[in-house]
Amino acid sequence: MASYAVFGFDLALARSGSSVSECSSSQECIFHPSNNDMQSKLLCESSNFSVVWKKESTKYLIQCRSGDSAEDNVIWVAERKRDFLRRLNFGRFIEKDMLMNKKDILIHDKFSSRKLCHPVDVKKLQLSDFILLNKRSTGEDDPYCYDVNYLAIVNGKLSLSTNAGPVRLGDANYPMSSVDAGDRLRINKLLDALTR
Amino acid sequence: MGQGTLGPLLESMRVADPIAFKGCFDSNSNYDVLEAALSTGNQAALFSWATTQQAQNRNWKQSFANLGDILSFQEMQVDTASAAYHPGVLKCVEFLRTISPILMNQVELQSYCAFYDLAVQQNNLHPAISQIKARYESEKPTTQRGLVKIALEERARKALPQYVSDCMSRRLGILQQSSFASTENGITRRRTNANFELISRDATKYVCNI
Repeated sequence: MASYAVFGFDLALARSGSSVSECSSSQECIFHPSNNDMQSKLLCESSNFSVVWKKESTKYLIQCRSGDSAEDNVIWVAERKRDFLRRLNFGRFIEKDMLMNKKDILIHDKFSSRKLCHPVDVKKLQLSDFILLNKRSTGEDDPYCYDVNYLAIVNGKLSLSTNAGPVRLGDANYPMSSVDAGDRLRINKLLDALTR
Repeated sequence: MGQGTLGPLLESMRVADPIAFKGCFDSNSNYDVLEAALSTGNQAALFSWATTQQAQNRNWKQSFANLGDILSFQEMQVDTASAAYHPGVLKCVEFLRTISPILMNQVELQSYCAFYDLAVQQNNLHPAISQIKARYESEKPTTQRGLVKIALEERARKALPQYVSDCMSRRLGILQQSSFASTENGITRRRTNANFELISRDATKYVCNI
């Protein structure tokens, strides 16, 4: 693991058992809190907890993979500068670079690997802040594929689109909600520690 | 990888037979990095290795195919999969025993398989507990299959709208051991399973030690 000096990241966190991957060429940095991190523990029981942020911005995606099924994933998207915070209950994060570098990428799944439902829309990818993969049932011989969901936070509002076009906020297949006061406090503490 | 399950499995393979394990990876696999990540349990390093491999090594899949060709590694993979989801089955059974200890006294193979599939896709029955109880009270099923069907249907209905018919088709297909067409929210799915026949031979026999 290289040495890290990313966006004010506190090296003490890394030394405490947490880990950070290098920031990608898409300016995405990923932080995995240690298993003992209190704020992440209070937020969710997670088998895999990670914080992703865009370098030189105040936009964050926090992912809690709880259990083993996509529908139980919890994701929070934040823009601290605007005090924006939203909770999503679908999809799983993937680094933009992975899609950029390998357009025919296979996504590791429980018992096999799945294709993307549609080729990546490079323009949308570049304009997005974060990418989620959303598992879809196809009704075909290969029963599942992963749809690419493009997330962008613009003027303190979340916009979500797929290759088929914008997703209407309120669509039951893309459940999202506001964040309760307790979780808001925990997330702010987590991000405060990250940017200290 | 994202679920954190691949690392421990690979590490157990490596420890069990280091030479055979290493032999599955070619010279472009950056094996030393993989070994360091596995031996230290560094999930982030393992994730980084995997993403780099996918991006830079055109033959990355061959390494995993090679692992799958070794019988002892195959057995470890099956054991890992079983261990991962069996507790989910037990939770389903425990909950239904609180509703009907008599019907769920022993667990039929068809019930076990359907709950195993549920554990894989939906983890547990928790989101549908009140609906399952209510239907049990009103319909009063007299067979285990009847109770399990209620549980599977109600849990499927708690999935996101786009998934409901897929969940329903998979689980009810297993329970009846033939493909089941489900239409929910305008989406029709009819999932088949090559192993229906295997289940149907012993569908109502009891699974040991549950």
